[in-house]
Amino acid sequence: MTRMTPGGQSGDARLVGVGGVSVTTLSSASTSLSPDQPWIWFSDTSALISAAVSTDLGKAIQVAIGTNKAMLLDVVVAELRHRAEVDGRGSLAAIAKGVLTQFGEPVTTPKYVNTQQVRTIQAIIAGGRPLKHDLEHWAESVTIEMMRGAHQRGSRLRFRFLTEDYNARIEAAQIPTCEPWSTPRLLWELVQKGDLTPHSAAAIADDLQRVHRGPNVTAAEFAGKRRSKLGRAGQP
Amino acid sequence: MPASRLSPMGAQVFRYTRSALSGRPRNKAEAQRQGRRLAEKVRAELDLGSAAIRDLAALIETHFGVDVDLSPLGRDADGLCAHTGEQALIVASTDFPDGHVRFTMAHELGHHLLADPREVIAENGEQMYSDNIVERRVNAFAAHLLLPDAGVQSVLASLDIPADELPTGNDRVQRALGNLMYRFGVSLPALLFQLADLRVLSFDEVAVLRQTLRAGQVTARHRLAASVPQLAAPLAESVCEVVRPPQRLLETALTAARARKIGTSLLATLLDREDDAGLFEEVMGDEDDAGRPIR
Repeated sequence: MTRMTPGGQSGDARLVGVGGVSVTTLSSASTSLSPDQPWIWFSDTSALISAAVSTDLGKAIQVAIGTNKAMLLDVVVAELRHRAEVDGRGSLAAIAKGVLTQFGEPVTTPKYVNTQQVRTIQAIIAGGRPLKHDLEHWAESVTIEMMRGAHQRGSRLRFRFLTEDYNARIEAAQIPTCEPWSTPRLLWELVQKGDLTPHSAAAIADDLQRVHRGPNVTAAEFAGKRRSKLGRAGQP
Repeated sequence: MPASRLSPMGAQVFRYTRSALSGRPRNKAEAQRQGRRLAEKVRAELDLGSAAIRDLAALIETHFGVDVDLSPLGRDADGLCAHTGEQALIVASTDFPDGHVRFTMAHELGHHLLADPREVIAENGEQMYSDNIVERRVNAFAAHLLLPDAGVQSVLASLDIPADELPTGNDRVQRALGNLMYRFGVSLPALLFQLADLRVLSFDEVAVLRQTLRAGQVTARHRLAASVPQLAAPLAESVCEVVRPPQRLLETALTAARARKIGTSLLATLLDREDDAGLFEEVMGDEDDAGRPIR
């Protein structure tokens, strides 16, 4: 895993703020993506909390990211801190907060996103339900807006967005260069690539299900070719 | 979202109202007659005969190009009709008994068909039942649409209730009234009002029955006599709290959700559902990874 920040070059890609949005400095005009193009990984608060359930899931995420780049956003850190305060010591949020350093320095996002656009995405994800608090769905919305801005400006970067929120994944999937995954989907992909055994994936899924953070998925279903067996967690 | 459309029969009704009922009624009697004639025209054009209308919201949407939204919106307002040249929406609060909600829908449809010049007509019970000539006309329309003369007479005849027994309000009469409420989906006040208009009862007799009878008691007697189980009972006497978004909006949202263009949160809001995971299963059904149905 390579750490990356918007202003600083890291590996062969970097994001820079231009006109309030993030763009890549890689050859800029083409939007055609090559299969060997590296992925930029974003993780939402919900996925980090899931990773706190099982150290094996945390390791699986690191395996999936591999030598690609991961970005940790300040809004995700802020939400985790808030939830850790509310939920208290020993909570999943507090555990997740404790292992954030592996993702590097958080990126300060306000200068890279248009707040009005973020609010629009937040409203779409909420789908008309009143927000429980102002920051509900905010971190996912900021992440989606950063990816969308990069794509709209011709970035060739590909994004993987790890989030347990189905509505956020659907919204992120509208960006052609983004592949949103839930953590069960990540496990399934690893099993399909042979990077994880179906039984290990099922054991992690059991841990997630026990704390109501994932569906009941058997080893056979992880080994099967039909992602739809994961239900909502397998979509999009 | 696809445009709302009039059915050919609905268009025929509009042509009729423009040609035959375009002016304001000169008096209460004429308002009453016009409302009845319009209801009879709707029943004739839609080939409804004297049968009860089961799904009134769907009938309004299908034939008259009006979106219908039913939601528990409290009891401050019964409903509203908002209409412009191209679009029309009827909203009815379902914090009322089912029969009341159906009357509100029919009443607001009357405003729309008669091209009430107000763009937004929001009404509470007091306004709906005011002595205003415009309201009287749409109330007559609603009553005759939901409770057609021939349908009422046929039920009373089949129950063998002579006209002079009705004012007594005895057990047999209560069962008959409950039967009519159940069959036609109307409230007790609307039924009694209509029986007076149909000259089955006098207004004085109606006033007495309104004082002495309770909707719950009347429908309970009917249920007992007809062996209608409690769960299948009409909602005439209970608050229905139904949530029904406009069908056009719901279909559009369903299509978008199945195509993964939107999530399920919007559908959950439209349907007032909390269980997003269960809703996902219902919406997507058994599909493969590409969203195609599995055969």
